Amino acid sequence: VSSAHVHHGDVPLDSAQRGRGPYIWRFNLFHRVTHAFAMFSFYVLILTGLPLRFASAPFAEPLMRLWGGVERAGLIHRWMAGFMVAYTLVHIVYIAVRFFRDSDKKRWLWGSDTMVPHPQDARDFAAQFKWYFGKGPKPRFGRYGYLEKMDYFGEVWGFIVIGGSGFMLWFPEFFGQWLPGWLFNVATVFHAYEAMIAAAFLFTIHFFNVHLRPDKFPLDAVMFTGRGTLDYMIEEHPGMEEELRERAKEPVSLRAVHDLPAPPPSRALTLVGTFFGFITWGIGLAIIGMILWAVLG
Amino acid sequence: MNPERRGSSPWRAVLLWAALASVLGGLAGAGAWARVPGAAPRGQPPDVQAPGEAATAVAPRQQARPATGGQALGCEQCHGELELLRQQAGSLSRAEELLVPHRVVAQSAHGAMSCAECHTGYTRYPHAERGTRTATCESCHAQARQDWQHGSHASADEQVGCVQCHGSHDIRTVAEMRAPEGAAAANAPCIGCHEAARLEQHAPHSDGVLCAACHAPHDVRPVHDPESWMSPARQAGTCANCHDSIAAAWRQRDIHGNDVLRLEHLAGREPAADAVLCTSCHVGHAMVPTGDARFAQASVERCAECHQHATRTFYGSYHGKATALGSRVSASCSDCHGAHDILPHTMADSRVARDNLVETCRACHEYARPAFVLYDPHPDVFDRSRNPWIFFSFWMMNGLLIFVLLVFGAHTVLWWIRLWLDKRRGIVHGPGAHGHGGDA
Repeated sequence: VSSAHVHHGDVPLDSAQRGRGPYIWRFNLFHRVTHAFAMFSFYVLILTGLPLRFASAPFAEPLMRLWGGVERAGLIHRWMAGFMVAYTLVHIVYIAVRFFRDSDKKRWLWGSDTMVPHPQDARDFAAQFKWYFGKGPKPRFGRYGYLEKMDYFGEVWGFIVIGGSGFMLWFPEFFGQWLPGWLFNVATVFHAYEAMIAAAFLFTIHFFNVHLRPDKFPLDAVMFTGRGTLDYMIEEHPGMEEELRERAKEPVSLRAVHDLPAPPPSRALTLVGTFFGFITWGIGLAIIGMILWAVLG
Repeated sequence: MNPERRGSSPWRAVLLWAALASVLGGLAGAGAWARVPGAAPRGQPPDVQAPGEAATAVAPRQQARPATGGQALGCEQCHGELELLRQQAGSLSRAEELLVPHRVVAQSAHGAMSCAECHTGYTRYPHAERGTRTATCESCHAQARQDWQHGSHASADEQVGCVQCHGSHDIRTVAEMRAPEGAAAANAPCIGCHEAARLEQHAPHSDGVLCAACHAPHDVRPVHDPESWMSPARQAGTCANCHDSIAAAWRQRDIHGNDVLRLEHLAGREPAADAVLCTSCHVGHAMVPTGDARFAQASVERCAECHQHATRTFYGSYHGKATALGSRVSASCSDCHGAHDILPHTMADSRVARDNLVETCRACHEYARPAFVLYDPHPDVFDRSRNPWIFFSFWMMNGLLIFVLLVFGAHTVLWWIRLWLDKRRGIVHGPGAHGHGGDA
């Protein structure tokens, strides 16, 4: 690993840059931009929605003033929802195009590359708990383990629940024409609680899984730089590394572009990734603090 | 006050008499201190007690009164000359007390009166230096005096008399005091003592409403005095002097207004401390315009003093949260329940009676239909019987939240403990810990 990277002593801050081996692509530019959009819109949505949800909390009014008033915050909240729908549609189209163009459709549905939940994920989940209690080895995750699949489908679920209830509350003049009014009450409950579940999950569980675990602390910037060392892949996604070796024996055309060895990330990209990584988990933990302050305070 | 009425009023006579007086006075010269008969607007004590009435028609002072009152020229010879007074009185401070430039009197409400009409003991010169008779205000303004004597200004330790509020030689007419630009000057003496009662700029009533309009001009009493114009029993009547249609509707159609009406019938009895009055929402000196978000915020808090449960559940709704955060468009209590026509939902005329809900909601949600008004503006997530769907969705989402936090909280905490235990045993995790990829 080049000494030009961001280090703490001998160890790179970005855990995906630790260890040796060539860099391997994990996320392409499209994945990374989509994730950045998701992060950005989620932060804006939660920081505009949270002060309304906890309107009597001490932070509510100052935060609303920061947005320029409750009505401006509501407008920004709706614009961000629209933005989220837009990049989600683009994401769906992108996945569909990639899938239908790919000659190797099997790879999308089975094997270590797939995002489709399989019984193996349940077995891995159980194996993880066995490992916690020293009753078995650590499960060998593929490119996407149950953690990634849960993050992804958790967001799909959240998008449907929060988005659906949110659109109902956004356009009561449309939905109110045939739906009973108390559904708006129910939508309010669903919207508020599902958002709280999303925030609690992302800013504690997701953060711990990807950044704050002692073996990755303080940061994993693979979602910002898109690549990690082979050692990192072997540690985090051994199944993927195995399949990569397997596939290397096959003709080159079968390899996906993003499976190829990658050049090391530039210093600028590493800096940006590290910087945004720290900023975002800082804000995330602050949001958790605000929720606790409002609920317990 | 139309121009014709002004033209045909007794003021025309006043004008003529005043003009005649000035000519006569001028002819009479320096020695004439005689009173000019009939020139003063007598027999009309200031009547501020009906603030709702239009101010009496008064022609502009410059036309109504002579620029120089001839009858006063004699006094003016000494009392208009500071240097002369200083020589006579022996000190500058005393001379300044005695200095009454005629211009000041001429522009006052008493501008058409001679000095001797009040200073009855000083009709001839040389006059006594002090202690001689001077007429009191009550000799003309008997009713005002009587009212004042009932009020608390008369019995105060430091008695507040006529001149403290009205001034002496620069006394203003009632019409002037009621005019928007005159009210500020008329209120200034009140504010001088009652500093806390100063109205904010642009606050309602700051644009030319006299303190006396609410607190009575002469029979001024503290608001806790049952006889005060602002007492629970009398307040609605006082506000009705200007806001008559609102007050009338409120007394007839509002459950709180009916309360006060009853109190008025029981006049003399101490009214209930929690009676809802005009000032309960339109809070006296700290009043904000009803269109202001602060008004909605404060009035919800006022409703909360009695209607705790309704307010708590309201704050759980979108309307309540947005109102609390200063939204100007979100509904507050009065938007649904009415401002001056609040009735229980069990009464057919109530805005929130079942049959009137569609119309009430349509004030903002013009697309509202009978199904739409099944919305619960006071959702109580703990009350299963009120709406089981809200109750179940609340507990379902709480269950999901707790389930997610428990399962994945355990997943996270146990993971951390595993790594910590392994570290103590010397088992290293992390990239490169299990041998290298080897290709590099």
